[in-house]
Amino acid sequence: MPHAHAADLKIDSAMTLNQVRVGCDVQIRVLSGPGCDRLRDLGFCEELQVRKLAGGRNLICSICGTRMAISRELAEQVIVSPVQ
Amino acid sequence: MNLHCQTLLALAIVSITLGIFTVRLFMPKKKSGCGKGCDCGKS
Amino acid sequence: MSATPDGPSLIALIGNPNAGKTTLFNALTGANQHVGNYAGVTVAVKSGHTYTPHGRKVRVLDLPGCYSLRANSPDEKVALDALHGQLPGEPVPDLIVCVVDSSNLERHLQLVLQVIELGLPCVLALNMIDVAERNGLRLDPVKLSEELGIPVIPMQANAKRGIVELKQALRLPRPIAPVTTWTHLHDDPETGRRLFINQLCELVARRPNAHQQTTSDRLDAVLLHPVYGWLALIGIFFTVFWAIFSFAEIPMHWIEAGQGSFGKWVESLMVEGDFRSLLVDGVIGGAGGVIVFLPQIVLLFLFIGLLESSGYMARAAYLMDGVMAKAGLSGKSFLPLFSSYACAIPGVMAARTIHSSKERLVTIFVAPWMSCSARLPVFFLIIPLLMHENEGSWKQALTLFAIYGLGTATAFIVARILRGRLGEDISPGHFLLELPPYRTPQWGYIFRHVLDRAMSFVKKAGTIILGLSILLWALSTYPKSNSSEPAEALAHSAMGRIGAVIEPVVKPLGFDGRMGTAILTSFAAREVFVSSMAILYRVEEAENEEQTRNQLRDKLSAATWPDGRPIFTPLSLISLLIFFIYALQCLPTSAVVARESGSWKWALGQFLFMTGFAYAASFLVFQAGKLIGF
Repeated sequence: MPHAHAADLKIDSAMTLNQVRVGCDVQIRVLSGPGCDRLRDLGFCEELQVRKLAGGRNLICSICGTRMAISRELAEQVIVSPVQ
Repeated sequence: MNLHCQTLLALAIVSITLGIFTVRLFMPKKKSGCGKGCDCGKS
Repeated sequence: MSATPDGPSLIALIGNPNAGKTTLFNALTGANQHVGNYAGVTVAVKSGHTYTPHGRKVRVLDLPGCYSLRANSPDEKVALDALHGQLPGEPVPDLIVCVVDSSNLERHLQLVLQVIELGLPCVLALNMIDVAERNGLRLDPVKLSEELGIPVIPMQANAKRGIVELKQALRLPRPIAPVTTWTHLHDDPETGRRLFINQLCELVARRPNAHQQTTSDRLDAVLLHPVYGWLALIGIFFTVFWAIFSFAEIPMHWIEAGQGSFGKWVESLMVEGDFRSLLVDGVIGGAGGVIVFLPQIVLLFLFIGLLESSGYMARAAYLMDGVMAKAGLSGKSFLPLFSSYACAIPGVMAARTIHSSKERLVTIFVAPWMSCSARLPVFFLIIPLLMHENEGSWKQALTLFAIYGLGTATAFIVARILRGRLGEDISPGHFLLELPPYRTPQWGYIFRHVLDRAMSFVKKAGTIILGLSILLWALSTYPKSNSSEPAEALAHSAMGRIGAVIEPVVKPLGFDGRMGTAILTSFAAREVFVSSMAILYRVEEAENEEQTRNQLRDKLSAATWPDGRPIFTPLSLISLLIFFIYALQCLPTSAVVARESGSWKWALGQFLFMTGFAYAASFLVFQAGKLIGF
């Protein structure tokens, strides 16, 4: 059951982590960009679920039960879509 | 302890202290994790 | 390889930061090391040893926490070197113990798989099973062991559960390195590992609900709030300062009274003479004058330990990231700089976790301006002189806060300028931080750490400071003059002559020759300033026999220039404070900076810049103040 509100859906229902509303659960679709190795090391892998806890200059998300803070630039490289 | 004894004793202690400092200055320095003389408690 | 037929002789602990490696290391070796639950605190390789149930000695290495073997930062590189036997003086470890946080297997197994791929014998320490159980995770260690091909030992290092079982694993001869069963899953090794981990976690670590609202989340709603979070941060740190001042007062009075009585007792034991003077003025007055600050030192480290252990420090770093960016730094610099408030040496070393080498250099350069604990005796001596006897401790706390604030603000400004001049990074780093769950502080570790620091402080006072006090006493007593006037006798001594030479240099800063000499001696160790002042200003004591307390502060308040003006006016005191905030007076720090930056020129430049800056700042403040008519 989709968690996201209608306002959060883009045309192709995929967006970067930055664009997600705080409090939403999303699923990681793909990582693209120079930082994706680093992201994968930390556990940001495709198919995993993420909840965005805070936004701004640095985001806070909950992944696999762990709270991680990452920068905007890194979050820009995480493409997500609402949980199906 | 009369005056003369006191002065001798004091001078002796001062010389010993000076000696210890001089020896420490020229002793081979052991490279530990963070260097000597700090009070950070790390080994 | 140093393994004997009976089993491994050298084992290495590896794992993500916050997996509890260091806790396990302490449990195995019994060593007292610093534990921080903030990513990146372990920066050096610690080594110790433990014994198997059969009494065989096994050496243990605690490697820096890393997320992968890709060697993105200096401490990850150190870990990788250790595994390849490339650490100076260390062979390849016989056995690797991979420490993972059981409540986070999806993320921690990446590193484990990479280690297994190296072909070294491994054992998996499934740590923090209490947290996993509490989160409702259903673990299957037996199946995990089957799938990975290595022994898996559930444990809870902070409660010492599972340690015996781990040692049993050490008893066995070298376990055969497992065949990697996941490399065939995909062409790309990354993806292959990931697919394997996903499958594995479905089997052995079923997670009920990925996003449960926990107490930590509720606390973070306030403490990480853009507005409330900042208010909380400032409030917490100000409270810490205030607490240090007020809680320490009573123990300090006891120590001072004890010091006074002890001095009087020694005086009564013998007639007046050099030896008596050496003991009372040099030893008790000098070295003892530094011991009185022990309560404040203890409280400072106690609060730092509490903040780190509870998990709040990571939140502070997160909040500070925005501010640090204005200084050209990032939140990663927060821990090194904050550690420097205690002592710049571990702070400079903690800078190893910073990926950007330019940011690292800048952090190392400005770290000494985070007023370290060695300056505390100087500050605590001078601040009360600025106030009246009975002013509330909150005013003193405010002044201390302002002192720290000034040092920090200047450091940020200089960092910004320096960072700009160093130029852009080749590959920009990104802010990345794990926020561990809040937990009740680990009192055992905190108390051991505080005790450690207290003992180091006392030891330093009893050795270096004591020795320097004795030498200073000698310099201020000899050569003797025939005059019975205390001031003339001092002027005749070696110290007095040095003071006469120095006075013209420091007079524009508002200091007299004795203060100038005391400052000179404090380059050996900042705390010595207090001892020197005690020795240099004791001549005033002869005039005030009614004093029941042998307080240095009282002596200083009464000190005057030859023409009768008081030396320690508020302006000259502020000038003195400013000098100590900015001057770099710690040779061990310069040595570590030279080593960590890889260049003695950097360390020398830092010393010259900071000391020159201190002189200029003091000069400006004092002269400007006089112009205004302060």
